[in-house]
Amino acid sequence: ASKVTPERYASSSLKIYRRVRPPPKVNKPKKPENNVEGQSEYAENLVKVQMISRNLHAQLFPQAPRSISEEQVASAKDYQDELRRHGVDIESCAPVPDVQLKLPPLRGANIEEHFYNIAKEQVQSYEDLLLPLVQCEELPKRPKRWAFFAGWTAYDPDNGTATPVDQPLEKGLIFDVEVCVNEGQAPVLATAVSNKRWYSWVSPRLTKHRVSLPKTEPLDVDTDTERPHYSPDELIPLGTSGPGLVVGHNVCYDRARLKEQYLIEDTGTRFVDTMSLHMCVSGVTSYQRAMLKSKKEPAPEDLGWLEQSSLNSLVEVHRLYCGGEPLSKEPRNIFVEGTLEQVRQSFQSLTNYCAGDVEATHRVLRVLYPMYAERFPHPASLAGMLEMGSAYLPVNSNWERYIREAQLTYEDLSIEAKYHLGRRAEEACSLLLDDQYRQNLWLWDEDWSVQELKLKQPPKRKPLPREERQDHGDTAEQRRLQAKFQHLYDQRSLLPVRRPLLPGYPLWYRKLCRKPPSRSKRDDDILEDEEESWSPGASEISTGMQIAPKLLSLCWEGYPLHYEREQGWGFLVPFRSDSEGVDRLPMDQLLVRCPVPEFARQCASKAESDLALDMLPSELEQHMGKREHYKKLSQKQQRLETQYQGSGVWSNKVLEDSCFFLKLPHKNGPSFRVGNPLSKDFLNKFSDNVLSSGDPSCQAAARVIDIARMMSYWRNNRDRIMGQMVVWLNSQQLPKELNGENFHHISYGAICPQVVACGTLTRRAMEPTWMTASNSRPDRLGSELRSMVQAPPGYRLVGADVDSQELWIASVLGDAYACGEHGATPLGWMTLSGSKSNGSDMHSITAKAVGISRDHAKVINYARIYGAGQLFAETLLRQFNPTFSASEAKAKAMKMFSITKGKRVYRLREEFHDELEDRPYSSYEASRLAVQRNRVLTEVFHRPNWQGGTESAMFNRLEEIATRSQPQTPFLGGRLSRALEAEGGPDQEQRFLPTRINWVVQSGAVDFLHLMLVSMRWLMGPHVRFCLSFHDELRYLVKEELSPKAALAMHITNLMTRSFCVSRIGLKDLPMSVAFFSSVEVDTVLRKECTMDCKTPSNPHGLRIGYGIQPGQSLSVAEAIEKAGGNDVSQWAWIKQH
Amino acid sequence: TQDDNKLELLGHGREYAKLLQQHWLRLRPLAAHLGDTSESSSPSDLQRFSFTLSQQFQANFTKLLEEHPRKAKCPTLLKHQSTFSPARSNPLFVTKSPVTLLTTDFLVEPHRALEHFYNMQRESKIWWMRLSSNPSRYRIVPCDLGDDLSPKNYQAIDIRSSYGDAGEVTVEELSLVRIEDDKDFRLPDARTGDSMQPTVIRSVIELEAATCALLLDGCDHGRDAQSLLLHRNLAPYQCGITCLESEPELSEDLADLCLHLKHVINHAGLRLCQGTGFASTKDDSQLTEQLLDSDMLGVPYTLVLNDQTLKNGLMQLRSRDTRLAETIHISDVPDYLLNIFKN
Repeated sequence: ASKVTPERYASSSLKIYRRVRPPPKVNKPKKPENNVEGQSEYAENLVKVQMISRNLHAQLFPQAPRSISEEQVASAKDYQDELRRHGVDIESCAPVPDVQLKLPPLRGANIEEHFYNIAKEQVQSYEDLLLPLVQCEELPKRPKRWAFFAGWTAYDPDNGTATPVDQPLEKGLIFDVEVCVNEGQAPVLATAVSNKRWYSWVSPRLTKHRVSLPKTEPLDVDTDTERPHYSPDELIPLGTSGPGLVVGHNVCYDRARLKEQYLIEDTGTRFVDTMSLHMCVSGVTSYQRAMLKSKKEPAPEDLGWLEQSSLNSLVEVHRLYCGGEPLSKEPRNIFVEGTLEQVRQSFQSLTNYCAGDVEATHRVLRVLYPMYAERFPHPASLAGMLEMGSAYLPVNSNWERYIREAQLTYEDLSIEAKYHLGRRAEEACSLLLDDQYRQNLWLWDEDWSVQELKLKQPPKRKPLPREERQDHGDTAEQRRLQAKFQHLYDQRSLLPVRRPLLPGYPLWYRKLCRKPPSRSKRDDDILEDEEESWSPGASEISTGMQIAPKLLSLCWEGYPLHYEREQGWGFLVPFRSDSEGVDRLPMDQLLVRCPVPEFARQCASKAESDLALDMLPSELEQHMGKREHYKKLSQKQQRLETQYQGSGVWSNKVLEDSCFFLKLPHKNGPSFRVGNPLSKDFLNKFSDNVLSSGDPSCQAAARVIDIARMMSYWRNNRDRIMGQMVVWLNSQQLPKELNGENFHHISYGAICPQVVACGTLTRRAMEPTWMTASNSRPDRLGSELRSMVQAPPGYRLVGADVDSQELWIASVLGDAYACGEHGATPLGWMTLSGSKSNGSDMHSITAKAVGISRDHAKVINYARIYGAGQLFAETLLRQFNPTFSASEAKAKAMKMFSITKGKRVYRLREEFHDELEDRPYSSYEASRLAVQRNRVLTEVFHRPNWQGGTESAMFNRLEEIATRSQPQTPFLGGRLSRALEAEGGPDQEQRFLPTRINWVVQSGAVDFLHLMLVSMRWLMGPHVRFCLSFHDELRYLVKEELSPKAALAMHITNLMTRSFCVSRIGLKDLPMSVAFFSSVEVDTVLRKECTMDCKTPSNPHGLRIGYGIQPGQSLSVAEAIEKAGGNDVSQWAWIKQH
Repeated sequence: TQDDNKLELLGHGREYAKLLQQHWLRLRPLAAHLGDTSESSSPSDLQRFSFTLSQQFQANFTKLLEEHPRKAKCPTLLKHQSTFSPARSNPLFVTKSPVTLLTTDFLVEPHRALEHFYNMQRESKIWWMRLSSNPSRYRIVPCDLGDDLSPKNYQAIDIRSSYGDAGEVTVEELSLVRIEDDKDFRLPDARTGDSMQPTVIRSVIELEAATCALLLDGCDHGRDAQSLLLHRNLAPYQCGITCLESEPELSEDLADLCLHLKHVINHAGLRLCQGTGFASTKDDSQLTEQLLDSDMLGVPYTLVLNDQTLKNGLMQLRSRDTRLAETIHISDVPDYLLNIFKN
């Protein structure tokens, strides 16, 4: 209502918005000195944040010329004071060069209309295909009999006549594919329905037809034959003429089995996923998901949302939206467990089952889509979802090489680690001599018992069966000796039938060894492999075993590690300085290594007297004494705990009345037990010297840990990576340019990552392999994964990371709400103008204030903005710095929250102004006052506010949105899931508040992404192909010659998307620092930065030398303009045509 | 002085070198083995990237085409040995000249040369690691090519074995050379049959230096016992026989049994300790001393017999590495031992 218009200020005294800044210093971009109207591009706002260049502002906000009122000048002083109070120096930031661009004209009166219109245009043709399906009340009748023909068959809607077709005749389809899991990932059969007729598709493998095309040899000689390789001819064709629309439940799975999806040129088919629609409308938190899965009777407060949601499977989603008879999933088992032959036998019923799913999907779509359309009114949401569902990752022969090298390196390293452990085990064996193991701090509690090899009693009368030897020797002497000792050989029959393994060796060692291949099995061919691999020694040892940390003599904070079955891994801290009465534990050795620490000393005298009590002769008394002793100790513990400074966890456990057993800290909290100190979570503790080997001569420990660290990434990800469905293109399917003589050594293929377009409550996309792919790290084997996505020759991957996207979204919401000015809140200013280099960015400032490292501060800052509380920050702090005590961590977390989030204050409701002073009240005061009046807090006070922190404005805004009855995303007005919207009273509101706050920012970020996708499509038309987007990163595949233009389009996309966002929240200007990407990468491979060489243990030579891949280019907006051939975007051929 | 670090292999060492050489022949078994070249050294052969111009290399190539026509395809492997003098020095020691060079030439498709080169590096490194008492001491060190050699056509790495602060020894050198414009030097592609000019990856091992390096490796292990940790398959002596005689009157039988076992073990092809093949001790302390000697000789296993063995055939198989003994039966000899030494 109070839109700022020029007319409104026409009478008030106008001030020129732009003011001359102090003379520019050397090296700063030159600004025009003379302030002649229309010539200077430079602009800054009330708090000296540089704004976008004037030409850009005029194009993006044509109806909101920059102006400034007296009141604004007055409030500017307040903002500046507040900023100064938080340590912000508003003079400190350096200006960036202005940018001159001629954008294509906006499609509409302003930026908001523009985005609405272009998004509408982009989804129009797909909506035209989708809506008839949504509106179709009754599908054509399902044919009575399915034709067992290879390929597609169409069925006449009236009489069911089957006609083979190349592909379905209509472009709007509901579709479902079935795969015979045991036979690989290729499709076996599929059904589809349009609003005209039914279709079925049958794999030639099922009908046993030979595929007409000769099998192409996709790869080089060393191809791993274990893993299947797919060619497009095994997949389902839908034709190449777009646009087409396919609806399915979890449709990305079906999409990955469509032939044309793997071609380098996009065919214009898009996918609507009913599962994603369901997530948007009724998605749940992970906690709620657990509740849905649980068999337990739900609590009454959960009933509300339980009615509004379900798990994601088609059966559950169908039950939620359509009710009625539950879908049967029984036939599916044949696909999961059966063979092709079984599928063939039950062809009719299985195809019917598949068609049943198609019908169910249709019923769901009919109910769900109108709900979705109502709750997500902006066309950019649908456009973004369609684009996200078309991800495409080009690969080439290097993919196979990568897997091979990672696998080999992994094997090499595991052999090495095993070897070291094996050596340590062999060495440890000799501790058996003279019972030396009793003095070993790690191995004393292993089982050192030894087995003897004994002969049975010989039978009384019968002679022993003769043990034939194959040869008796060459000379007479040899034969004589053989005969002389034949009776010894004959005693073989007296050996036990089951020979003990390694008689004479301790049990723990024997457990690590395998039985040698026995003589009787020697000729058995089947066992040959097993025999081949047998080797003497501890061949079964691995870092995952309980013995491994002991063999490596590991210590925590200097104390030897120890394992207790109930508590898991921990360590031993002595509290007595003598070893009297200590039976098994090598107390003397422990005391030599670790004298009784100060904090445990106090306890010692007490424990000694308790010991005396234990010695009382009467059994009964002894028993009572023990009980009392434990009770007293646990009281003592309270005190000890506060004195102990380390990170071990008290577990109320004492060994042999001489040592405390403290548990190792588990990342999920003190109640969890640590199962393996060599696991991923502890690997980085080794560098902190918290966890180390107690044996200085044991270099093996350091090496084994290094190896474990290198291997963990590949171990956790290799199944997913090797399971990627790569489809290799044959030469006819490649563009001409790739078919030349030079390319026959390299194969090209693609992966269609199975992206669920909206896979979480916040509508973020989900995909298990690529979306979580880590960046390449020198100590992570296989972490060069992403760089193995490689553009074919003649193409480039163009993309960028949105700089601190979520932080900006959160801060700009606060700025707009509290001040109506960019950068007017401390958080806003730090986000826009703070810099890491001079320590004025948010993370540096919090790090400095609290006294932790910037990296740690960054994680905690984000956690807070995502809705985490003080308690969580405490846990994080302790996780980062195991040496912080609980109270230290608490103090730091508290300080951090009061600086950033501020204090919670209550304001009186108006009706109480007469009786009480109208001032901010603390929550303690507020609740006291409410109780005094016998009222509920909310009756006396308004919803509390945050005050005094750098982020208070932001949190107030986020909470304001999150506590509405129907929260909407700030940019595209999308609604929160019904599962969280459900009425549940104030308790429920408080319970889900962090989730809702988190949702505002995250879901806002998803809007942001969808808007970028729409803008890129508008600027580049069909000339870019969407590759992948994760977190705040966006990548496209572009022809090489168009890559500079695509880079510039990315920069402009950022500018326009942000302009749209700020416009939606009432601001009509945009800061220069966020207007463009800091850089757009133009590269041949998918990597975070185009200069990363991705050296890893499996890629030791890096991409440049090892794979011959040159660094890419990183283009700033100025460079992109230059390379794209000038700043007049409106003249690009495909834009001019419009 | 310079002579202080000059090493010469004695009988055992030479034996060990021979075993190492045999082991090398078994690595990459599909190679065409071209035997020894007695040709004396020429300076060009010692240069890392110019070997393809040497007569010896060209002679080998001709020999491949003539004597191994079925292997004359790309990729293929050639092995040969040659004797050279003087020995190259390394920071730790110099071996006495002349020295034996074990050379493997891998002729590969040029477009996959780098990939082969990396595979070969890894294969070689693993080979050394498996022979070592401490596999982590090996590392691959890239050689600086200088500015005049293009990394596309030339690559070189050393595999080095490091001994803490004492220094490193290069045990193997790998070099890649891309040959251009030599019409005589062509091979058909094994897959497509297209004629191509192979890229050569050469591995060179100086046998004597490598042997010394492995012997050093066997001593450098930071454990209390002074054992020589030689790989069980390369140890010049794989097992020993010792008997503990407590009752003198049985000693002839026990000697006979030792002799019998010596025959059995020799017959099975295992390498037994020198001399009479067995030792006899009077008491436990003598036995311990005897075993310590064996450990220092690097003998991985020792059979220990006593008077009980004469009654029931049970004996002890004592291991150098665990210093423990397991009980086995005479009928387990030699099969159980063969199993142990098989891989």
